[in-house]
Formats: sequence, C-alpha cells, structure tokens
Amino acid sequence: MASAGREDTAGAGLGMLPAGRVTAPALRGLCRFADTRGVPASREFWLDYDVIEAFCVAGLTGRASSTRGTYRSALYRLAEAAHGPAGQRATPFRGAAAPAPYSPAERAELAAVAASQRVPAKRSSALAMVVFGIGAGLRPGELVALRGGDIARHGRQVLVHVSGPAARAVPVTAGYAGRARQLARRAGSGHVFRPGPADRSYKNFVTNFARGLAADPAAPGLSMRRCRSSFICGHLAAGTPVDELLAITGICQAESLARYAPLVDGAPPKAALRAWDKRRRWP
Amino acid sequence: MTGGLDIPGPGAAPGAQAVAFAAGLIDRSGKAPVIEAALAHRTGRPRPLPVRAVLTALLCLALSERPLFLTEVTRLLFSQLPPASRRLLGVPGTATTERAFKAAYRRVRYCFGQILKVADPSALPKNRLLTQDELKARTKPMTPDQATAARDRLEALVNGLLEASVSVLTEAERAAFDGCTGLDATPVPLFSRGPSRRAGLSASDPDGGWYVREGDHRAREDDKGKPLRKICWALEATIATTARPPGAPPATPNLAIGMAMARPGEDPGGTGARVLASAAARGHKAGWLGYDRAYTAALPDRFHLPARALGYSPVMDYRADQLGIQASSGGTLLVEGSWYCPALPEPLITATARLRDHAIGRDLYDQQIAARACYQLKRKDGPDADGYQRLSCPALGNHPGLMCPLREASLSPRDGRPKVLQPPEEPPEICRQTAITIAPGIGARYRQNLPYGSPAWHARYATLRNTIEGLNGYAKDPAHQALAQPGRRRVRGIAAQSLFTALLLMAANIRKIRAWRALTASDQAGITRRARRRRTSLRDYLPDG
Repeated sequence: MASAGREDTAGAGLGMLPAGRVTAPALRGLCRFADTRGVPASREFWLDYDVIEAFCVAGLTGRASSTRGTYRSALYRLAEAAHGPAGQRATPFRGAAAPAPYSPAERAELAAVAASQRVPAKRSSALAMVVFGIGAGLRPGELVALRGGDIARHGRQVLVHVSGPAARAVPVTAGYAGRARQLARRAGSGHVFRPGPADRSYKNFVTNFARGLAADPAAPGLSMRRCRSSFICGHLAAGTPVDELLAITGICQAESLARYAPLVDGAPPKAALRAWDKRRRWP
Repeated sequence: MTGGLDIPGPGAAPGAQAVAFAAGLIDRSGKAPVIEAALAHRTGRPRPLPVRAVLTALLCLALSERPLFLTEVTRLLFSQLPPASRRLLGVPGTATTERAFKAAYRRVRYCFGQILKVADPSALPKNRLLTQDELKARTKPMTPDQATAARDRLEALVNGLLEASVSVLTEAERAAFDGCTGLDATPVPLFSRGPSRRAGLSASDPDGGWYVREGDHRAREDDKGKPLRKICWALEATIATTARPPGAPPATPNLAIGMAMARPGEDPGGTGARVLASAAARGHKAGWLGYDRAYTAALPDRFHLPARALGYSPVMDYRADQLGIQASSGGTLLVEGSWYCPALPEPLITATARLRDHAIGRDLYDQQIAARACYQLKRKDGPDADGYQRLSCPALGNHPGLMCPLREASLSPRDGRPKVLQPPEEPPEICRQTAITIAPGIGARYRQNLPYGSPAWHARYATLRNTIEGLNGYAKDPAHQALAQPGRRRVRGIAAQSLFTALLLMAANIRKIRAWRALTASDQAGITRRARRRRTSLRDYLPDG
C-alpha cells in the first residue's frame, strides 16, 4: 500500500520528466528518499539542489562513488531546468595553523645557506627571500614583483613599498635593514628576486627556486610562509599595536592574527582581536 | 552481607526461623510501635495480643503462600507456632480446645480491627447489603481532611511494610538500581459482588468500584452503549517497581517499592504521584519512569509535573487523538513529546498517525522518525531548578545539522544535510533569536526526553512496561501470592485490602530476592545474561526412527 502511494506521489510531484537509462532509477530513488525525509511532493522541492545532494550523500549509502556521481549529474541536469545553474557556495573552514616561525639559530643558518650559493644571482635571490621574508613579511607574489626602486631609506628606517592588491609601506626589521639596502642598490631598477626575464606569474616561482638551493640536508628549508610567520610573530612578541601590524602585513581583519597567537607568549587572545574588528567596523 | 537479611528457605509451615525473619521485617518497617502508640489508652483492660504478633502472623501466611484468613492467623499463633516463637511475638498461651480457639480468634479479630481503625480512610459500612438510604444512614461522619489524613496513614503503613521487604537487599545489591521505575495500576478483585441495580442494594464491600479493562477503567459501556464484558468489582492497586536499563545484565531483582489503593479510575495521576513521592522520600533514586496511556491522560498538575519535580524522566505512549502537534511555544512545535523546528515537514509530523492508520509501513515510519532528529531543537541550557529550559534552533551553531534559508551561515557547504524547504513566512521567535526559554508547564502532559518512536524510546518503554506488567503477573500467580484471588483475602474494606495487598507484595518481593540469590549464588558471572529461548532446533527435524 505504502509503495503504491509513493509511486503515485512521485508521478504527481515530478510531472513529465525525461526518463533515461540513468535518470529513471535516479528519480525513483530520489522520490523514495524524499518520502522518508518528509519533503513536500512537488517538483520544485524534490529537484532542489540540496535535496539532491542529501540524496546522493545519505540516500545512496553503500553505492559506489561513481554511481553517486552519475546520479548527481543526471539529477543536477534536471534541477537546472527547474532552478537554474547550481550556484557555488563558499565552504567555511578554519584557518590553517600558522607555520612555526624560524628561531634565531635557524635564521642565522638560512642567511648562511643564502650566502653560500655558488652563483651570485642565486645568492642574492636567496638572501632576498630571507631579508624581505623575515625582515618585511612579504608574501611570495609580493617578493616576485619587488624591484630595487621600491626600497627606500626613510630617516633611520628602510621602507619597502609593496604594490599589488595589498599595497603598503613596510619598515624592514632593524637586523635586516642594511642587507635590504644593499640588495636594492644591487638590483637598481630591476627585480630584486631572480632578476632577468622569467615567467613571474608561475605560481611555484619562489618555491621551485628555494627547492633548488644548495644546502646541508640538516638545514631548515627556506619557505616564504615560515619567513612571513617569523615577521608577524616577531611583531606580536614585541607588542606592536594591532592597527599598525595590520597596516604593515596587509591583513584586513585582526581576527586573522589569531592563528599566530598560539606561537607567541603574551599575544592578544582571539576574543580581543574579534572585539577589535567590531570596534573598527562600528566605531 | 551489609544491611541485608538472609532469607529462610520456602516451607509449608512457618518454623521458628521463618517467624523470626517475618518478625524482623515487621520490626524493620517500624510500623507496629506507631500503631500501638495510636491505640494506647490510659484506661481499660490492656489488649492481650500485640499488633506486632498479628502483623507477623499475616506476613508468615503470605510468605508461606497461604490464604490471609484471620482464622489462619489464630491457628498459627495459638496452635502451630513453637513456644520460642510465641514468646518472641508475645503471644499469651495456646488454644487447645474449640472454646479456647474461638476466644483466641476474637482477640485476633479485635486486634486486626484496631489496626485498621488507625488508618481506615473509608466511612462506609461493610459486610451488609444495604439500600441507598440505609447506606447513607450508617455512613460514619468523616470530613475530607480526616479521610485524607487516614489515607496518608494507610499509605505510610503499606509503603513502610514494602520498604522492609526491599531492605532485605544488601547495600551492594541496592546500589545496582539506577532509578528506572515502572508505574502501573492493576485491579485487586474484592470478595464482594457489586451493587445490584435490580434489588437496589449496595455491595457488601462498598469501598470498591467497577473495574473495566478498557478505557479509563470506569466506563461500564462502550461508545455504542454496549456493556463491556471484562468487568469486576475491585480496588485498583497502583504499584511502582524498580527496573533495569534495556539490555542491562540483571544486577539486582526488580521489586515493588511503592503502592497505593483507590477505586478504579479514581484520580490515577494523583495516586501515581503519591506512590512516586513515597518511593523518593524513602531514598529510592529517580530516573526513567515508564507508564501506560492511562497516566498520559492524567492532569499534568496531578501527575506529570509532580513526577518531574521528583526527578523522574517520563517515557510514555500516546492515544491516537494525542499524536502529532501537542503544544507550541515561541513558534516551536511539541510533536509527540519533543520540541521541533516550526518547519518540520507535515509527513514527519503525521508519521505515527499514518502508521496506526496503516497508511505507511513500519520501514518508512522508522526512516521518518529518524529524519525528525535533524529538526529537533538543540538543548542550550537547563532545565534549571525551576524546570525552565533553553532550546535553540537546529540550524545554529558551528556544525548545524540542518540547513535553513533563515540562518545564512547554515547554508554552506552543500554536504547532504536536510534543508528547510518552506521556512515560515513570518519567522517566529525561535527563528529570530539565538535561543528561547520554555516553561515547564507548556506541554507538560506530553513532554518526554526520548524522541517518541525512536529505537532508544522503544527499548526503554518496552523494558519499563514489561517490568511492571511482569510484576503484576508475578504477584497474581495463583500458585503463589494469588493477588487476583479475592477468596484468599476476605476481610472487607480498603484498609484491610491495602494491608493484605502490601503483605502479598512483600511476599512476592521476598520470593524474587530468594530466587535471584539462588541464581547468583550458583554462578556470579553466569547471570549476566540468560540465553534467549530457542524456538527451533535442527533436532526437531530428525526423521522418525
């Protein structure tokens, strides 16, 4: 009795739909699933993308993932006629844990590795990674775009003028300021990192370079993520005000700094950073 | 055994050991001195037979599965007991001749009558078939307050006796009880015919009432005016029993821990609440409480709220007209005992009703009950000391189980969670606020902690109901306590019948404890689980010869 009822409602709910070799069993399964979930018997609701997704995830347990994919495709095609193309929804996720900052000993070793490269161009590029990564917290893309002219002396400070979407002026940490000026002078108006013609849009431009450095296998790997983490953690440890830190790191929300807080003693807690964001939004 | 008692073995005639055991139980109840104090007079001849002796003799009869006749009590006390036991009970002399026996019987009857007088809530005359006018004329004057006070004394007496039988368990045996309780009312037929409409005469035991198996145990005709057949003149004993969690190994026997008697169908909720309150006051833990649909229909102020206030968590079933939406607060829906989102789809609301109408099958029903879980409100806080509870929308939180267009954050990612397809057009409080507060009185009659129809509910409800019904059957076994045989309890009146029923339940408890100890003594580890009875065997199919 119950199954007969389902068939009737299925027909009433979906109306005339194309029945193919894949579509028909998929639709039958969807109808049965919708019945168990109490979804109102209507084409509009049964072909809702979320209902289809729920069917593919929860209603097809035990079926091969390829079957689920086939059914999903077939049903999405039908849903497109009812609801338009399936929109993409951003998946909220926790920020990844921040990479550990380099210790003073590791920083010294990295500088030594950079200085020990055989080719001078490679030596200066490796040093640029260390100096502008740890000393100015540049992102890989910002380092790739950096030219000698972007680095200038301003009183007793050396400033790096970063261009791009997060344009800003970053004061280089005191320990790296001298080497930053030297690198800028050497680069002139050309690129500081890997001068000369190159495909700078390549996404692993920096990583591949770092991988090719000659170094002791026991030495720490040179990574721009860890360099930037070292820069931010250094400022958090030094107690740099949050608004100033946001300005020099190119970070929009104070809460984003929370991922670095566990690595630094005395860093502001997440709640304080969130409250700071709120204050800035509604002063 | 700390705190417990060793039980003498079963036997036809109570020996010195059995009498000492019964006297010990009466002493543990602490009721004999209370009755003696209530009966004390400064003037007149001292009563020769102590209350303790009569109660002990009655308990001896119950324990040895003999009828509870006062002649039997006389025979036991004055003819059968060894001298040492008579000295223990303070029974003066023996009755060797018929004349002496009659004199002794008069003493026993007088003493028993005096015991009842202390706690008799009934003003009606017994043992006579009277017309309405005669009945009215002979009814003793008694105010409602006096009747209530006497009823409280009677219930304290019977529950004190029951507690004495439970105290036979050791501390370790009692500690295994986790508070699961079954509650039910069962008829106790009376040694009397009902009132005659034709002759216009009252019943010889006018404290009783017509017990009808169906409905609320009162209506004598069905909805078509046809007389109901399963009917008897009886009192209704409301009994609370301890129970075990579903599937748990039997770590302690299930015993009757509370009892009260009333006319059939007369305020079952209030009587049940009094039994639970008595059990809780004697230190029994309060946990899951299983009861049948008669209690679901009781007034919340009389039963459900008092039971919750005592700390019990009800597990109940519903009549067909109680299914579906039962209450509402702040836009939320109380559907079959649990609070749900206002967008709970209609097919899920009506699932149980459609199952009972055979419109859907059991498989689909189980799936729909499981699908309800996503819409159930999340417990945010409480219930607090006042019973107020904070509940929040199921589409809120870091990991919402439900997607709702009214809660933007719940919509992503698209991962197969159920989605609210028809959100309320005018969002109520629960859709606008983080949480709402629900008062204990809202939907109090129907609220329960386990989702109705879920496997957890089924297991709990079946265990609790089977336990109490099993106990009723155990006490009514004609080969033992025979609670359903009125011919074995012939003294009339609610007070006498309450006392007899309590003594029989005591005997049933002792029988259960004795059997349980015999089982555990043989193999402590082996009692963990009894194998299910096998209905078939390949050996049944062996060809003849």
